[in-house]
Amino acid sequence: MKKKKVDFTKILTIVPISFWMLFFVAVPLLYIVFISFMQRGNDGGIVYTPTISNYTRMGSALYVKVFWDSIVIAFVTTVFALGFGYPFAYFASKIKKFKIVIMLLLMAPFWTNSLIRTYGWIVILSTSGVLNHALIITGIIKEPLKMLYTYGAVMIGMIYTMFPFMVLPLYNSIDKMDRAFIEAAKDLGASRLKTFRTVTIPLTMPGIVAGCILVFIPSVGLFFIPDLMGGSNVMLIGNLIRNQFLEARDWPFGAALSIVMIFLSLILILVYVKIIGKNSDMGVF
Amino acid sequence: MAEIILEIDNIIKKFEEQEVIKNISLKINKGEFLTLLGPSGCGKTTTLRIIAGFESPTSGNVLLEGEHVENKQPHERNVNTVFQNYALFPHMNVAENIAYGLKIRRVNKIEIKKRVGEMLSLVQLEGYEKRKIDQLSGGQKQRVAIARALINNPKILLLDEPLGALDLQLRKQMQIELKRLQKKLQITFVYVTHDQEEALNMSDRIAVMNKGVIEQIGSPEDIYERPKTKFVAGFIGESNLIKTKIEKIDEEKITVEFGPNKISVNYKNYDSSKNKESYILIRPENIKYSKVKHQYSMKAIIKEHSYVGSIIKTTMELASNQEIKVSDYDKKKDLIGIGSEVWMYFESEDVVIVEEG
Repeated sequence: MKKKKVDFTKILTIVPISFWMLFFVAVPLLYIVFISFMQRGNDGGIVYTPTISNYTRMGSALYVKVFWDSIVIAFVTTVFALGFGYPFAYFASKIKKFKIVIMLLLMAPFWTNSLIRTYGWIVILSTSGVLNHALIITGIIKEPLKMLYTYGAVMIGMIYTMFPFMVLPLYNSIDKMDRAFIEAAKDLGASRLKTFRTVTIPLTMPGIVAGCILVFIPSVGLFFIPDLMGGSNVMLIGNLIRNQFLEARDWPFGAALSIVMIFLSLILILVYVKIIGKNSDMGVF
Repeated sequence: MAEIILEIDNIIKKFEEQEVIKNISLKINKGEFLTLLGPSGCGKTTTLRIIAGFESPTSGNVLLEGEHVENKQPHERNVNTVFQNYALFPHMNVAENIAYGLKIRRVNKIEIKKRVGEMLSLVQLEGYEKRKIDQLSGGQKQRVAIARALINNPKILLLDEPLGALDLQLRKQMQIELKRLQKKLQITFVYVTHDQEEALNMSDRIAVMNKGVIEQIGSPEDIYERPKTKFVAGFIGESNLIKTKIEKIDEEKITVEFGPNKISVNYKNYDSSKNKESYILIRPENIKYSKVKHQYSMKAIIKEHSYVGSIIKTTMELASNQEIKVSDYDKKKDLIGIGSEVWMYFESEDVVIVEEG
């Protein structure tokens, strides 16, 4: 029998991570699952009587609309982020001299709090804001436009905030792609457009899928942007969950909403794994 | 005179003020196997990329069947490339890779299937249609890359060091197969390599390149037996180059200095117009040595014998401290001991006079 050597460096790295995962991920998550099947007390506490009413409540038209709106907004955000992000990442990886500068500029906003950056958008978009002023002064419009507190404003805020999360995985997979594949396609008779469609897109698909997931999933749950830029006109899942925990003091219902949202996200990750599973060596994660 | 399929005319290529190709002109005959041979950085791959259309020349013309193509995109010219690392599309299987060029041209499916089948049997890969690229060995990838290029019936097939990634045995086998394929299909091959043996083995003609110019172009025999420059002599095969002075140039003979003696050599390529350093070139297999003096001989001291299978390589040193390499196929004879003084000699007909490039 071979004696197994105890590798202390291995234990040193695994033990803290396991504890972290257990106490800061697994336990809170299980707690959320647990209270989602409990009842709300009269003064906002939790009454430990099992029920599934928190889930059945979501069937009402009001909540279905919130879920639907959230998913539509997240979807549109993802589509726009991809539409802007792909050319951005493509040209950033092509311009060899400036690519570090471009990627730095992309990351620069991370050094400021995203809440403060969102306030920046409010300054630009509000009725008495910078953009309306500029449009009135130049005579393009007479009356200020209502731009803030609309779904459009929420969308702009979301696309702006999520853009780097789209570009980074895209950039990674585009930059990693061997230029020889593009040359091979052209050599075999494909025009630029056909090369892009038949070679570049399929080969950067892992980046596209990763970027879309990184944008879509947080977009479903983001609450401060709909809050600040959508006001009371926009209600999305993120806001709804926050309201249940902080304002309505209905933790069990908030927990149930969170669980449903997590399930939606898991389904998307499964889709990703299925697509990438076919060419597993090209994964981004 | 054979029909010319491609003409490169006074090509210059600069990358940011650095001249990678300094004026190359080259005519390629239809159906020939032409090799661009040279060390890395000599401009051979750039030349190939100009023919393929991946680079456009800074100045000069490229004529494919008499038609200017120097500013045409790669997909607008009927030449195909076998890339150094094959560049097979990893998201397609073997059949899809081979069919790519035809699919792009919207050839109908039945025709594509038929042609892919023909190509697979041509490169002896029947039954591999559905294989993924990462399940293939290096040699199989090589064959797929060749089939993917050949299916388009290119006027010229360009090969950029295609055997570089293969091991020695496979490389030798693929050399034979490539040559056989080229003979069978009668397609013009332009082949880039830094491997002189590969070039000598396969080519109809070899263009030896160095520092952005073609030093010499000719048949493998020309290049090996009658090199024009010191670079060509040194790059191809093993060589002994002894500095000399030209004494006299007659109609058929050229007389040069050889130690204290004079040696008369048949005219072989020597261009007397240039006043450059001249060298006597003698291949190691043409040098003999003995304890007895011969007509053209020089005193030398044996430094080393080494056994390399088919031959015995001997290194000896002249009085001028120059090392001379000798290859001897007769392995049975008694070797003269290391440190002994011998006379090294050769026949004047085995001597070539070359000059500085």
